[in-house]
Amino acid sequence: MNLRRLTLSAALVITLFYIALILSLFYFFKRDLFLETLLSPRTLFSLRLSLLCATLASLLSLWLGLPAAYALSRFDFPGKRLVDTLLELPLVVSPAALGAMILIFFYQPVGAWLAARGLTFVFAVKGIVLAQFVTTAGLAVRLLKATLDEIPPRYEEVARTLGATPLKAFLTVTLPLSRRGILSALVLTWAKALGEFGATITVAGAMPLRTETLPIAIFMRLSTADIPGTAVLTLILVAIGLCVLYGVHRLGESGL
Amino acid sequence: MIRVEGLRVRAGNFLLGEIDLEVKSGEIHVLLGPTGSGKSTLLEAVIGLRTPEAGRILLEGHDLTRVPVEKRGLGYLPQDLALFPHLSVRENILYGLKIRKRPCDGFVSELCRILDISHFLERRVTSLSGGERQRVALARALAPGFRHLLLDEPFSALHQGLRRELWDLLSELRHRYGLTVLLVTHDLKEAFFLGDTVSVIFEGRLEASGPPERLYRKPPSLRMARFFGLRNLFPGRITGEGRVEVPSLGTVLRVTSTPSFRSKIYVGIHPEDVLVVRDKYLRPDQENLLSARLVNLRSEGPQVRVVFKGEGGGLLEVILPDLARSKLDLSPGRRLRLSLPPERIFLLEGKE
Repeated sequence: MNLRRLTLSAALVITLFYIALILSLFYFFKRDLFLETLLSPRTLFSLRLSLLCATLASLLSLWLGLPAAYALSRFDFPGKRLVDTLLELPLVVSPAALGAMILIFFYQPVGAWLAARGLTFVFAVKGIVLAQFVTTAGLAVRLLKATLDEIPPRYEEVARTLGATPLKAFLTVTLPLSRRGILSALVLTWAKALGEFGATITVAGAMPLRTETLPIAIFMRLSTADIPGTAVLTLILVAIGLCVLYGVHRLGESGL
Repeated sequence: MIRVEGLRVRAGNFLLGEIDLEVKSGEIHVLLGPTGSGKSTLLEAVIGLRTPEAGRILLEGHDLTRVPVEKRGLGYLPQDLALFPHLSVRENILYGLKIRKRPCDGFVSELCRILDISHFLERRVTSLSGGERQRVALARALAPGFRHLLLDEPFSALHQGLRRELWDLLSELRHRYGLTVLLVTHDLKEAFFLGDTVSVIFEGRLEASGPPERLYRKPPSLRMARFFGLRNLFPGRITGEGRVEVPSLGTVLRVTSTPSFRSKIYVGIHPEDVLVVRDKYLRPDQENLLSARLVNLRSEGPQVRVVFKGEGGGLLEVILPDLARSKLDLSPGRRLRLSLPPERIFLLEGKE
């Protein structure tokens, strides 16, 4: 078997595996049940909560991640390697452990002090956003840094010789040149936040119509052996995820 | 005028300086040196992209050393030109004016006309040819009204014909607008064609500075002679006033000056200064004659580069017009008489 066939076979096996998983969801698919589950107040709440929290968490990740990624991409500073390593923490530590770390933070004096001043995150919607932000910020910085690394600093240097301040040079040259990468990073971060489960359930719990996001709703249905209901909710999540990925790929091809 | 005083710049493990340099108003001053010698680092320090450890940079008497890049008012062309790919030609050229909130005036139109770019102002810069990109980058650097231009090997990626065209264009712009230009290059031809003054940098230090003809005619050091591509460098020994023995050529040469250094000396002569003398034209007063055997010749288009072997085994390179190939019946193995005019011979101290 030549290399081409060998590698294509591997790609086919993985693809078929994912297709089989998606198709198996349709085994339990019933149109009436699908509509009933989708349109139930509990599912609609979970959907709305998931979309809202994922949007807030990914925007927060972008808002803080873009300047952080710029600093890591453009400047050398003491402790840069440490910062770089810490930003990868959410990629290597399990989400449940990250959630536990957030919980523990609010049970030690600084966290308790913050909680006493109204900054309560545990078992609250704010906690969902925080958990999703903690798990996605590292990814956002990583993706944004990769985008900025591809844009030679020389453009900004020339812009500065022409009279632009560092911020103006970034806004008028680097930002427009990296818009496609930034949009991709935002969408992928959003998708990751949408599917986040481990840290969210640890910090915010699983309270129906309060902190029950879509992944948590799937878990709750599964825990009561409601397989058809689980399949419906999973289909919704998979459909959203595939639409997002398709959008990102189209974004890349369009040359926006 | 741009003045650099005692400038010291560190770039990683590389240390540039201390450098003292003066770029006179209206001149093209060329920074020449091999790759990694520090010439681009010096240019980047002048433009403000690198912070010096010590020294000062003065522009028309004003200290620029701590002035931010955007307030220096120096036009800059990097090697890769860095035209903004998301903007059109027009938007690139007007970038500096727009940032400074200044209107586009007749000067920019005139600049575009001189640079012959007026007919493609709406095109994307990514669709331009190499020569077009250079002209747009020049327009962008000059459009804000800058009269000091810093160029970092901008023509190095172009073919010879296009380079000549752009050298002429740069000279025209310089004369028309009274530009003061600091140009970095490792190309000798470019340095000698454009430079009113050439400063040579080796390993972060300024080796010599002066008019290009003077530096070429009499290189101040052995290292510089070698950098100029000179092969005709032979160890010698002073045997008397104005006399140097050159064992590798098997002769004693008369020279017009006796050097102050007496240690190890090298005798040098440019290949275009060596004369090939046919017996029937031999004059009785012909000096520094030596017999040599032709070992190799290579055509270089309009000229031919001929290598002779002297009596002592040394190889002497001679450049002759292509016509000489047939007139002198040049062919390997042939023995000819060569004359080394004393006034064209220079002596160099043996140390690097």
